[in-house]
Amino acid sequence: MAVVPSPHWAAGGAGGTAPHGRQAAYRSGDASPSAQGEQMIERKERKPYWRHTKWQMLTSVLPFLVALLVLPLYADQLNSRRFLGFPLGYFLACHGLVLIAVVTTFAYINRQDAIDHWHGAHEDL
Amino acid sequence: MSHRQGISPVNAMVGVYFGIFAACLAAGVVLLLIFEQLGVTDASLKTAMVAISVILFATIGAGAYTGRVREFLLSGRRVPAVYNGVALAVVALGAAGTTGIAGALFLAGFDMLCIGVGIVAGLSVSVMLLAPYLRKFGAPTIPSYLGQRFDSGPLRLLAATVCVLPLMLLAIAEIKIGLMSVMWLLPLPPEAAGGLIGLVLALTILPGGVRSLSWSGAAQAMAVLIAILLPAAIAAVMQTNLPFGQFSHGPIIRAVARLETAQDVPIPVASLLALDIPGSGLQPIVGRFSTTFGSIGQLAYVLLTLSVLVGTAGSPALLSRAVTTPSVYDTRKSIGWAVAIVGVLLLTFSSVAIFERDILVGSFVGQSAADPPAALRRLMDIGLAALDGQGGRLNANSILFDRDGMLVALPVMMGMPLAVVNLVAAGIMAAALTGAATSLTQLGVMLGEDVAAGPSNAAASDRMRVTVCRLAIVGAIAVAGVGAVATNGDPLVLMLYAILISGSTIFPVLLLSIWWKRLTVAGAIACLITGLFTTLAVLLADLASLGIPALLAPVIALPAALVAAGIASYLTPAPGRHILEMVRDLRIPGGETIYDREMRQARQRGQRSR
Repeated sequence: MAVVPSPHWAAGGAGGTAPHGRQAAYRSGDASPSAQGEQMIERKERKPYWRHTKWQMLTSVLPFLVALLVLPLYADQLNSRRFLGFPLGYFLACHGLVLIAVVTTFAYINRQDAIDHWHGAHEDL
Repeated sequence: MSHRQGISPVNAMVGVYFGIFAACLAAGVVLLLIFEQLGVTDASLKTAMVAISVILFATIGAGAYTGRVREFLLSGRRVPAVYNGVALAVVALGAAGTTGIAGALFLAGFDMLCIGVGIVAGLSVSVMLLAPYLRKFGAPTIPSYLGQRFDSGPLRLLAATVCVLPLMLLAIAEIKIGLMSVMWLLPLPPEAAGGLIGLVLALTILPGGVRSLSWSGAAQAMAVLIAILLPAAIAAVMQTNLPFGQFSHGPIIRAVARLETAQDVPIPVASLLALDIPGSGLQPIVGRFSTTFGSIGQLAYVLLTLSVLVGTAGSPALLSRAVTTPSVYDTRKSIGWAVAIVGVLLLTFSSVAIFERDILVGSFVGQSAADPPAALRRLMDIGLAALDGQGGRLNANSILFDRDGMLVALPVMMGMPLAVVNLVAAGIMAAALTGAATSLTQLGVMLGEDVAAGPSNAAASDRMRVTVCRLAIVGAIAVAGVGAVATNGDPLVLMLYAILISGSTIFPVLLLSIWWKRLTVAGAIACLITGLFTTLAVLLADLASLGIPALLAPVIALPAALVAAGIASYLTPAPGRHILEMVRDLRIPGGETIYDREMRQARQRGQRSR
């Protein structure tokens, strides 16, 4: 049941071991209703969860935006080169940005899912 | 676990149903292809194509009938990620974007990529910043999310007022393209075509609200994908010998560039902030295809990408559909699918545009204007092209093309059978129907839930709430239909206006409401009002030609809205414990949605006080 993600992104946080609250929740086989209601996640896990989520968001959005803003500006100079038969500038501004968007999005979805599992915040449906 | 009781699992038969739908559609198209060879008239083939698609969509819409509020407003939160993603992708582009971007790419080349890339990037940013958190909150509309998140009725009304603008503009833009495709397929005057579209919209969304919308929308989106990808693949085989034109049209771009140089096609030069998008109707090409920054300046290109990005990410029509998935993870996944599909469509538009350019510079230019080539004559016969000036030899600028017709023009130019041409036209009609239906359903639900019923709707019965929403949807369809028939306007520009309004008002307030706990009611109201009025100011400045193009409004309005929200929040007392607890809860997936919990508690309070 417990999915342990590779801890490389968690280096600054939990230090590679699953947080206690989550382990305890798994051991008792009762990950959800706490005294306050139907919170799936332990209350003290919420801060580290949000810290990881924030970093994950920033490291996904910022490089993506930079690529989006910078690539087209050099399209003119790059157009004299050739890639797969395309003028390189055109290829990067069209196919390149689409590929970057798709890869960034799916990488983000995967990493965020790993973060959810790590902190016990995932939904079992 | 009490919060699980209301959740019905995803229907295991969904794949079978959509298999049946796809088989019916394919069988219909093949049947028409056979009838065409047997000599059935064009008019009956076109009528049959419309009838097949409309009957299929309406059957699905009516089959999803429901009288339960949870189904009517949220589709029971059980639309699987893939189906939702396909529908989201088609709605994000919309018929206006589909035809507009493909045509603009053909006419102006490289510069128009920024609109499509902005939409892809907007969906991508929406996964990271907004949509999953709105799914956790679980509210059916953006105003009801804001109203509950800040516990404020006035904010809810204000947000509903602001949301009406982009939703109405989008619906009108989509219905305009729908009119165009219906009138292309059936010999009807605009009023009758508008009535037909309104009727089909009512049939597909009234029975089950968002539930009907989800399923008929997914079917329409599949029809759109087939209608765009199939002719593009046939054209790619004819031109490059490979079926994946998306990745193999590179050599043609360079061949076209050589021909354009030989024919002295002009190279326009745009100033840094120039922003000139080819208008609807018959237009000559603007310049060479792969030359950069001829009609959109370098700075304007980047800023327009950003404006479309924030507008797509904050689009109320998209966000309301993103919350109908079974879980937060499925919301992320469904938008991920949408990113991939819009990306493929954008690459397809690029390949379609260059195939058409190739035919233009390769086989039209240089021919006699008195005796135009057969492909050009076919285009002129159906009104998708015209000649500018008389006599002499054709050159690249003397042929005018209909911007919104360039997707239909591809099979016509390539001499494909009429069944394929009709399939594309029916696909554009389906895109218009699903785009308009999404905006109008959201508009109706918003008017019914947020404006008419207001905060007291926890006490209202299911039947009452559903009836109010149905009436509001009928009203919205009527207003948008009349608006689309009676007004003039470029659908692509209308869509971009909708995008810029949501980007400068709704996007900042949603962003802050999730990522900044200190935001207060006053801050949110200031954010919406500042965003809206700054946008209006930029529009007025553009009318007075004061330098900055109207389409770049979010570049000014978004920072202004963020600053206003910050100042107003710090001037008012910090939010109370209940609100802070709600924000912390909102940020973490799992458990009962906050909307359901608040509604349940409101109902319990109502029972106790009775």
